[in-house]
Amino acid sequence: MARLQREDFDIGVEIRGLADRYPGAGAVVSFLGTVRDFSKGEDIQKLVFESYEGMAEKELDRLERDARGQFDILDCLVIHRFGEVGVGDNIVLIVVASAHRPAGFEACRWMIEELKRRVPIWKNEFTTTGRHWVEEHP
Amino acid sequence: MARILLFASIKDRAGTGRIDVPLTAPTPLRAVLAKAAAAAGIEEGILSRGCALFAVNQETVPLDHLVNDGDEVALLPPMSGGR
Repeated sequence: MARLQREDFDIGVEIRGLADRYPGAGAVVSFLGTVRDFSKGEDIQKLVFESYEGMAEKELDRLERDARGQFDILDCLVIHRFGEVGVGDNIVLIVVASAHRPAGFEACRWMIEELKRRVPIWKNEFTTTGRHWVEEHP
Repeated sequence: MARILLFASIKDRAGTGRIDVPLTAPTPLRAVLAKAAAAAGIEEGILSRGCALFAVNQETVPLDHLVNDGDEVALLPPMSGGR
């Protein structure tokens, strides 16, 4: 399952929901991306995420399908927010259910790295001195 | 006409999020960018530099891809970065 949404999500509901659907799951691995309060020595006030509507949803769907095809997992989900988010808020959640933990960790790591490479969503940082787009991807 | 969509830093540098380019025949994307820059009165480098990917009709394509009348072209800077 993949979702692009403006509103927040409940990580407990999402993780429990995926886990409960798979009695064969012995591991449920998650990654939660949140807004930190600093960037390059500056204080962050907020982030605004811009997306290419239509293509971003398609690429999130493809990411989820590809992960299920490439890794020995039972299921996965990815949720990404767009619009304005404040310090400490949730940005992105990835949850992977698998029979054993190695495949879950591998798939979860792969999904967040791939998401940052290919899903057309951009982060605009607002700091006390102005705003700028974050485009490096180390 | 092809619709060129600009996002994030490219949109800021170009000062617009959309440029319409009249097309009478299939045209390589590289040439479409030149036409778009001319139509918007900006340097071509503003559109091509800083792009990580190009998409036509929401699928990534190379610069020699032929753009047709009615296509939606998107200029995509590097995606949501961060460590």
